[in-house]
Amino acid sequence: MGRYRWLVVLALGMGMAVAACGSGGGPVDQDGQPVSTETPRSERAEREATIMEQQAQQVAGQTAQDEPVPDTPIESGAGEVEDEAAASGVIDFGHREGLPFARNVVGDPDAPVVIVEYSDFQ
Amino acid sequence: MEEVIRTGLARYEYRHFIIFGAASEFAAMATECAGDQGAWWEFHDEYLFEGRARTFTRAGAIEIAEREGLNIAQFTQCIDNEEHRDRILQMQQQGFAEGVNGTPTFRVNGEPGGRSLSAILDKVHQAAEAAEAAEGQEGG
Repeated sequence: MGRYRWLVVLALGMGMAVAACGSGGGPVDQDGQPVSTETPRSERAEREATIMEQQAQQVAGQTAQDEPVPDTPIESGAGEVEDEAAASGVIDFGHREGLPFARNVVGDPDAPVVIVEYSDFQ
Repeated sequence: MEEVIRTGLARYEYRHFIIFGAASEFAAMATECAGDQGAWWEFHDEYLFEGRARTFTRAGAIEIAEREGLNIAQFTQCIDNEEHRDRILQMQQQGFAEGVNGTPTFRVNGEPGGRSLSAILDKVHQAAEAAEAAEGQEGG
């Protein structure tokens, strides 16, 4: 038996090597399923790209049917607001404290440069 | 970015560009409704920096509104009637028209602003110089 011990060791070694190759060499979960190593950021980017594509098609369809997209910037504080004065003032909290605001716009209304950010809260 | 705003060089405008569906759209509408009562930035910060799943619901939005001392009857009527849906859709369409294809996307005086803070600030300074030069030409 002792003379065949090296065969047993070799077989065990080969078995472990095959198992490692079977998992693709990457991390696996408790059930042995591959686990993504992508960062949340790249997952979000992919998700975004898919949603964007669908929405662009949707909006393009709506736009073609309804009315043309306005080519002028959206007015600051535009909207059906009865008391527009209530929607403006000076920010009194956080890192923007002391800055004038009008609804979704912050800063000097006469500033020569406008920075617009398009974003989603999620 | 605060510096260029505080010095009066630039103003900053946030536009909703909904890509994550109903919850995002609801949060945008709630923020606009809060804006009717002067609390646009309180809601913006709550959603953007403190955003938790619960706050993206009607009950969660009302909690924020109560905390901010808003008129709850006016606020709930606004969100229930989706009073600012058109405004948000207009922002979305404007974004598509300007070639927005992801978030966040920055634009500086109507031109692509880049993704990094330094790129945006560079664009701001370039735009300010261009505006100043144009003003000088107009003034003779």
